[in-house]
Amino acid sequence: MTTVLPILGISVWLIAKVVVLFALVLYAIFAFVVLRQIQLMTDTLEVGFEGPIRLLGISHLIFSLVIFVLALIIL
Amino acid sequence: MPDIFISDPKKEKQIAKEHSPKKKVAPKTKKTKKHKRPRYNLEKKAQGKLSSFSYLPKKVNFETREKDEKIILLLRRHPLTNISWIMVGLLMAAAPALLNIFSFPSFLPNEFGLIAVLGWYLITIAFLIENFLTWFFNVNIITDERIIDIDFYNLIYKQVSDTNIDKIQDVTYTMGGVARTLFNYGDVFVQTAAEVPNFDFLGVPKPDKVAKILQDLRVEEEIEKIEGRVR
Repeated sequence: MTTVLPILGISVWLIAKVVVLFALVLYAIFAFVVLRQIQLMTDTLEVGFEGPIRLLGISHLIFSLVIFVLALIIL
Repeated sequence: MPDIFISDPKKEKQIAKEHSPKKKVAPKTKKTKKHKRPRYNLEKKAQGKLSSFSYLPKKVNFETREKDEKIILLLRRHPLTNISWIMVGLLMAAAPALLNIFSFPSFLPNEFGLIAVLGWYLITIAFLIENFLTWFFNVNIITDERIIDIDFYNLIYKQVSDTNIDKIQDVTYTMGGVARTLFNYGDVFVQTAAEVPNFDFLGVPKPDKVAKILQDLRVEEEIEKIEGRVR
């Protein structure tokens, strides 16, 4: 964890942390888009299975947010 | 002296009955036989929410459905067509464990390794969800009036096309290959005279039954036209 870039004097792992957090933010946005997509799909077609599918999308979004928070804490 | 002018009430009633104007009986006419939809013995088979072939589904509704429109058939791709992405998903899920054997992420600090694995599982879950949603919501619906093709191409693009049953010109179905013959699924191609010239039901179960149902619906529509019962 002590690798430091010679020119900037910044830790490589700090840069890696920023990149990972940025990627996780993008992923959370993607998870939100998936949730919205599920809503559009269930509006288009109702088959009586909307509840579990919405739950799936919400769980996915929550999972992505949890990982983001975890990364923020432990990295 | 007997009173001859008092009439017997029973006789009076009988006479009144005989002379009363008869009720007009409507002339018996031949009842026009209403065309009955043939039964296919499919009602009890595979009516689950994840079924890829639902005949007369009860709880199905779609955006552009009209009030008195009856859904005859709801079709999805056969579950076997999902094997490829399910296998890929399982491999993706097993990948971190497999890579751990070869100690691949050993150059990463522990915290980064954990986040990398969790991130990988996120991507795997997204892959599985996307494929499931694509399978589940890309459906073909046959109602008593039209056929509807609902396609979701990616996250933000959907296409819903429909055509009236009476615009169907030709129905072709194909079944080829070992898996398709064994598990009885194939493609149904519907040519129409509408703006969308082709409706392709790809990889649907029982393509022969689908073609038969479409043919019967066309006949029914023709009869409705002749009888003047067109909606």
